[in-house]
Amino acid sequence: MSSLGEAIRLEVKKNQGNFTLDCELDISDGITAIFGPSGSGKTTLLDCIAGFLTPDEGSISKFERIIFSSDQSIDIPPDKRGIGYVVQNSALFPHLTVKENINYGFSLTPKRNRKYSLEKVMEILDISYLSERETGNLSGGERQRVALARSLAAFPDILLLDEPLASLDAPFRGVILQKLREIFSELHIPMLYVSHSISEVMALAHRVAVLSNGKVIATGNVGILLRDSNAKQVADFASFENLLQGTTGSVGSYGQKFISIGNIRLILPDGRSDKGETDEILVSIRASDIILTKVRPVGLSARNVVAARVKEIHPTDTSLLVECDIGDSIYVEITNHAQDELNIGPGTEVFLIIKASSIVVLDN
Amino acid sequence: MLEVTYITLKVALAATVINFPFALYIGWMLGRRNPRGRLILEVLISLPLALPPVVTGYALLLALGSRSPIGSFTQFVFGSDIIFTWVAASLAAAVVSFPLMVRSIIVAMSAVDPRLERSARSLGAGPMKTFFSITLPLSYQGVIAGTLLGFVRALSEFGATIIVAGNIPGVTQTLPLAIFAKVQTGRTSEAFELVAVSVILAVISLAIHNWLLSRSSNRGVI
Repeated sequence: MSSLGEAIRLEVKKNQGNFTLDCELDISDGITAIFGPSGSGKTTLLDCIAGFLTPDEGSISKFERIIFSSDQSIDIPPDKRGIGYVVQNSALFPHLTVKENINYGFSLTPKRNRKYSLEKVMEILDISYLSERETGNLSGGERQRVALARSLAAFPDILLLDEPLASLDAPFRGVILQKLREIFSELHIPMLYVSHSISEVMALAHRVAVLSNGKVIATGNVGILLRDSNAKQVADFASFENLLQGTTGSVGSYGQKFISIGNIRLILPDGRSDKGETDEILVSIRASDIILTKVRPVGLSARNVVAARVKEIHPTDTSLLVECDIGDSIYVEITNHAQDELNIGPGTEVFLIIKASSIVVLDN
Repeated sequence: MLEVTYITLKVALAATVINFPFALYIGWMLGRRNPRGRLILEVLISLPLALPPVVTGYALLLALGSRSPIGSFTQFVFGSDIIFTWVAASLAAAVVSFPLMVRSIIVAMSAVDPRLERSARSLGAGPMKTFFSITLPLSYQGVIAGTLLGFVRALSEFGATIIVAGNIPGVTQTLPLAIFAKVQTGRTSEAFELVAVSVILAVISLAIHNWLLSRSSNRGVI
């Protein structure tokens, strides 16, 4: 971790028609999510940081170096800011091959400033095999990995990610999420991750800033999305998914695949045999697909019944999200009516019933 | 006939070469940026397209004549003004063909996805590097097509040329001017030969132009 102070420190005002961005924000090292509904100003904020929009007033600094200041008339152009920017649609250069795309920023970097090799970047993102390909016939997931590699190969001090998963199908989303984690653990580049998906933010980010109508209404660790009353107002819990990372294996006379997450094991849906014995994978389980009971159920067709302990109960505007401890946190959605009957609270021992078919493996 | 063709090509080529950097710059500015005073600039650029070329020629005559600042400058440097020289013919052809050239370039450049240029910038490329490595390679077919269109227009320039450069055989007499002279003096068979040359030049240029355009539209650039 860097000790050069905040990765980004900013205080900006930007008027755009009938919308005003008015933000004050300190972003430290690690992965920070900018969370908010569409139209809340997330992209405007990133554009100001990257240098594509000039704030009406304010200042932005990166590791204590001023990159924009209206008072001091400083406005460093985007190419001199050392800030990587990966957008939703990848924006790969169509007239260049994959390798040429990735080499674009790399070749512009003086040799002494290259902190790692092109090969290393392509290896982390697992795209070496695409090297000579044209960009036109890549899949969405491949395009996004190439875009990430291209950005990293320019050695940014900070990486901005504008909804990098939004245009991807479920399996690819998992890959990119995994890759973002790997990038962070291997290269230690602070990231600013813009998303309107509470599930993604909780799975990936260390900290979150909640944006609503151009203003930061809450900041803290990702838990505030469930605890802070302001933050909860903008979060959409209806489609909340648990994005859980675990290790796969196989067991039993049927050779069933399972995944170990925290201290539990879940049987995976059939038909997945391409993976090796032990692989890190990411799975998604919707909070509303999990059944919670206080007594150990017997005679069930569901393959996955696991013991857990209630950590906390988070009311949302329509229901309750029960945070359960399984070595990791898993969230179960229950109705207020169900809670009246169950009467559970922090510390209650419960059992979770998860149908194998409701576990979506996010991997290709 | 050879001499006339040579002068015509020389004048049109010079006009195109003079225009190219300006057309590229203004095409980029209007196609990629949104400058203040855009409307005024667009009107000014397209004006020669809407005016009778004779009017454009007269304006040029006033601008280049020995009593104008430009005229006295050329007088000072070269000892004479450039009126009635092939350079004046080139300038006339340049002004008249500029709108066609620049409009095609604007269309080609505005078709380039701005997100690509932004990506290049955030990867460390300055504005020039971005232009030459992203914008131009993605719009070059439209740029070449526009340049050819301007060249074709310069080949056929008549009205403005005759005002600022006259119709001097062996000096400023291009194909259209020569045809005009032949027809005026009733030498129709000689006029026909020159007409044939004109048609051949125009067909070749237009064929290349259309071929480039169809290629670029296949690639989705225009």
